[in-house]
Amino acid sequence: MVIINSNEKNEVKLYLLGQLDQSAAERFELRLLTDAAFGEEFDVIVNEITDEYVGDELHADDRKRVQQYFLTSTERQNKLRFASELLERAAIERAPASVVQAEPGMLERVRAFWGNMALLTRFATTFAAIVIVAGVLLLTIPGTRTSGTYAVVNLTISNSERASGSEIKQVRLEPGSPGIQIELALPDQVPQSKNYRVELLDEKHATRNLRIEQQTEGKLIVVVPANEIGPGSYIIRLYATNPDGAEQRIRGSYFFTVIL
Amino acid sequence: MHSLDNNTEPFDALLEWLDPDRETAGKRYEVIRGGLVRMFISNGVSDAEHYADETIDRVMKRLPEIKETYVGDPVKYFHGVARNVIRESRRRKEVLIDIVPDRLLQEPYKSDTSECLSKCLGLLSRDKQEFILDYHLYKGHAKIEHHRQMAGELAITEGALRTRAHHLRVTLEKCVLECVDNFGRNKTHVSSHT
Repeated sequence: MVIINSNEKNEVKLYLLGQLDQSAAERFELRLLTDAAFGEEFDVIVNEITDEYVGDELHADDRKRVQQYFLTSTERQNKLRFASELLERAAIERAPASVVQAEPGMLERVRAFWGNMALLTRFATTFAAIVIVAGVLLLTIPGTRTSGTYAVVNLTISNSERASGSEIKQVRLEPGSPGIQIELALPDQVPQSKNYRVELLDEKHATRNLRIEQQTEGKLIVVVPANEIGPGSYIIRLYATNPDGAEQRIRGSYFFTVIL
Repeated sequence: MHSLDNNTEPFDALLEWLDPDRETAGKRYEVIRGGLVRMFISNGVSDAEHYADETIDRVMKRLPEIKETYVGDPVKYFHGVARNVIRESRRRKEVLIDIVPDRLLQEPYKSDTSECLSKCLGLLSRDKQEFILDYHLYKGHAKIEHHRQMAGELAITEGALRTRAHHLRVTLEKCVLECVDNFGRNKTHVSSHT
């Protein structure tokens, strides 16, 4: 395969977006009919444009040209579906978890605080803590036990079908936590739907629906019990249900990673 | 599709016209056909393989008349015929369908593509699976930097990396599209029996 120079690459793009004049397009097409290596390079650029479209990387004008010219044949539309799946799969299976320095959790902070105390103070603190806990238990209604708190993560939809590192939020599932509460911000332009379906995809591409606990104008809240989710990368897809029962997928996906 | 072992007289004549050496003629034929397919797809003509063959058929039929008098590279003749085929195809499309490609990504049979991708990835070695997914991981500047890093790790040039990824993607895409096509046929078959 030949590596073409940037001018030639630009010409390929102009041709693919229908922007070459007739004589230039004719010269270009004659090269396609005579130069096998150029044909292969042409295919690479077709794939690049398709990927850039899927990844929402194109300027508005180019995006429009892609829709009106580049994607009009069935073959290109099939290519688009394939590219969308490939890029999404890459994001699920190969994306490193975002490198965010996690803030110390409650346990770490207590441990650090405890380590800095003198022995006598530790005894006194322990005693005081026992008294306080016993008091609280006596004041609460017998029979009801306070469960751990849900790990909460707020997600916004990513318009692309794959996530870049910065778009993947991490959520830490602490031991004893009953699960994860996921707050999904609804995109601005969604169909007027009262009903949604929330689909969770794991790394093995297994899908399941999540029950919507709460729904407001701009937000959906779903809960995943701790025993139903483990560490790994996840994608959430949203579907709006029309009054006639037909579903329409909301474009984009929510991405998150669960760590322990 | 016309095959090179097609021994019919018009096809032999076509190859002869392209080059006196049959092997060279065969290679030229393949390049022309591939170029025609790319040309049709790029001009919004669906079923490009069919129209590429249609173009070649027309050239073969006209060949006895033009062979002695035609001056110049035969490729230009193919190109002229292909342009006519494109014009005719556009005329047949009385109403252009207003396609909103974003919808394509939301259609129900996207799940077929997903399932087929899993299946076709499974046919690749673990190294190749990881390579093709890694290659398509990032976008923008991060992608350029990531490819540079991948090339360094594999001790190959970025150009060689790009070629390797392209060939693997072509194989994978072909497998997925065939699989999706079979899915569609099976569904039609099942629904026609229910």
